[in-house]
Amino acid sequence: MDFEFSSEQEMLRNESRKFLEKTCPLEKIREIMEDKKGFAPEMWKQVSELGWPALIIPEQYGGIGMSMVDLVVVMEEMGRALFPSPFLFNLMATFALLEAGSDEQKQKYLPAIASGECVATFAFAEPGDMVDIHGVNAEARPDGDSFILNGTKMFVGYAHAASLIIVPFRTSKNGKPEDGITLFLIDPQDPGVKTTLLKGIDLTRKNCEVTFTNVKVGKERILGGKDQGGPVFKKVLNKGTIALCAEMIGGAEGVFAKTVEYAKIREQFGRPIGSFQGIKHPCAETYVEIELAKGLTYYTAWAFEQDLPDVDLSVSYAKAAISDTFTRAGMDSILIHGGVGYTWECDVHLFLRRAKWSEYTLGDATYHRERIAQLIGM
Amino acid sequence: MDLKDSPAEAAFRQEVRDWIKENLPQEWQEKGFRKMLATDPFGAVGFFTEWNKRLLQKGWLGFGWPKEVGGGGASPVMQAILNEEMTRHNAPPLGVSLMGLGWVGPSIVLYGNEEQKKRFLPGIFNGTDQWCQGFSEPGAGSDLASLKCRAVRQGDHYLVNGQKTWTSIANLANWIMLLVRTDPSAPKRNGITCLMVDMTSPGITARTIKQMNRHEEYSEVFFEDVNVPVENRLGEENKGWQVAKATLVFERSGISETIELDRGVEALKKASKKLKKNGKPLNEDPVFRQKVAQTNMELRALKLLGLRILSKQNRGKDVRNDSSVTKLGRLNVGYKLDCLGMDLLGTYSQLLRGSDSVIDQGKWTNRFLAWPGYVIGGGTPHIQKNIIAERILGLSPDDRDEK
Repeated sequence: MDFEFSSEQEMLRNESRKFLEKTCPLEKIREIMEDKKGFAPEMWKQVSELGWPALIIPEQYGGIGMSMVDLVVVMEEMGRALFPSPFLFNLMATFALLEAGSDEQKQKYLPAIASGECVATFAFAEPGDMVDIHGVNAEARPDGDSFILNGTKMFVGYAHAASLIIVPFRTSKNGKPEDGITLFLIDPQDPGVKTTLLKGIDLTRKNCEVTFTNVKVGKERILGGKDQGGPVFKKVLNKGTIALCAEMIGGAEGVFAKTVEYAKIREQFGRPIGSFQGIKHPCAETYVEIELAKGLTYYTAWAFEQDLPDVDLSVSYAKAAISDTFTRAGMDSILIHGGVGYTWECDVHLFLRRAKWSEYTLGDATYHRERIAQLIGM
Repeated sequence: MDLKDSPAEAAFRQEVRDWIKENLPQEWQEKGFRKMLATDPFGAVGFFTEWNKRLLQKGWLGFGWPKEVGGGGASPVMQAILNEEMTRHNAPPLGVSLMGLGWVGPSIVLYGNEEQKKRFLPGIFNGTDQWCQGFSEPGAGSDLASLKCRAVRQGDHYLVNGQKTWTSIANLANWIMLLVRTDPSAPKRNGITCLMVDMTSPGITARTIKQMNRHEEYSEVFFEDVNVPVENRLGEENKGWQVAKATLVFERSGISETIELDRGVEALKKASKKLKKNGKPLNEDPVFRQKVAQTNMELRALKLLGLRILSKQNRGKDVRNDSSVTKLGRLNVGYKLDCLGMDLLGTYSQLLRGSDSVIDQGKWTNRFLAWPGYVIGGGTPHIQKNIIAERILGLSPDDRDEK
């Protein structure tokens, strides 16, 4: 039994952290925030050269063939640096292709994603705020050999910058909600697809509303099989959630480090404010919460690698824990920074914004606690 | 990263399970030590003695102690496997002399001279000696280093005067590891000496403390002109603070403790399907479901944190400060569990064991009333948070009296 990262993984962590510190400091992030794109293409190129989009893709499709645990290490560093990029959504599209694609489809799309040339995204939400397959109601009507797509997808990450959007539509209404879902490969330029950039609380990521009005697509645009998308959708959400959890852990640690640093240098009443127990104790509590949350995410990544049956429960444990913890770390940080923490120029609120976006995405703590209750047989 | 047992670990785990099957009767596995002791004290003590004889022969008493002093020399992971399987099967404690094996013995192993090791360690392994720790005083709790129990060197002995409190099992012990002040003029941590004292010495009286839950598991111990031979000093004079802090590489994952809490959650789930609130079984109440899920999740997180700490420890890293983290986490979860248990019963949680209409022998209420003892002993949450903030996060100490 060994729950530590390997020396290669520690090296990967250090390299990733150094790269992000150098290339993506918070001053740079503030520039990117003002840009409609919401990420820096030159940075995406550098990140592609490092192999990040290729990380989880098998070598035969142009990838590096690394593991979920390796991915978690890199995502944590991205979160710590508040790295603005389409990576998370690109990753979810990658998961979908890997899970459902025919060999031909994988050969067609994965190499371009691996090289960073193609930015992809995955539409996992609709209006009405339902997290899982119950929230897939946009319809695909058969029309000869083609399909007519209608409906709205919400909070599609970086849809305005993507060249591929993978979208679930309902192709059949009989049976359970997870039956009758089909994944479609969409080009944002397809006639009838309209992408609207939303204005969101997390200034370091962009989300869009994507509407489909009588969009006609051929059956070659189906990813996997007709009516077979439900289980794939679930798997993509599970894996995407763990990637998000890893990013949140990094974010919580990133903002917490700022809190501790400030508590050491800011002096009031003749001494560093961190020497007061009123500051020490919330810091200790946050430290404990983050440490507790970490194990839940790391275990889940390993469980995916091992194909263990308790993955659903494990994902919910991880997301429930970090959802509350990252927000707490963010808000505590602002309070401990005092007045300075409330200014635009102080970087801490950027982390809190990221925390709040992350908290509700792919299921908040309340949603996942209910899922836990079901899975443990309450 | 691999959370599965290695082949060696799996083999050892199986060995422990097989040995337990052969040596622990089914009734003991089902009822556990406490229940067996309550129903048949004489028989239970007899079995307990025999059980520990067999454990000693097997080399599983003092499993984490160095081999040179009679221990098993086991790595933290192997210790954890032994502890986990024993807990899982409801085994009686490993060792008659638990304080000796867990708390006092390590100091003797690390700081005792050859004569002292020969004299004291066999009694710890055999269970023929019972030890207690004389550390806290009425005026020295969280600030233990400010202790005042005085020992004056008088030639071939020390003369001890003072009082200790919260001394666990002092009423059953025949030896006490005592922290005394030998130099009142030195900075407080540099004037403390560690003495091993025979509890039958003239001048020692012990008086049990009645806890808020009526139990009496601790004592006040009074020392009036007690003569302690210099040969009983452990380590050097005025170096007692380090001696008392001595620990062997015992596994500190806290994993075994989570097994007991797991059982609590299972009991909670089961009871919630029968007990009702507002006419509906509690397991259907969305708020109750949220709370149970949260507690269950925190417990899972604790177990995984334990495995991370164990891995770290197994690689030889120092995890002393990490035990503050697990203690805080574990006791928070324990409290939530106890509160949920009482929530289940609602107004019926007021009923105590022995009362008419009591549910489940009032066990949730008993646990609730016992909880403060666990959380205060060994350092209150406030102290643990100070330790985490100062030693792990590096925040500067307050201007509290450190002299």
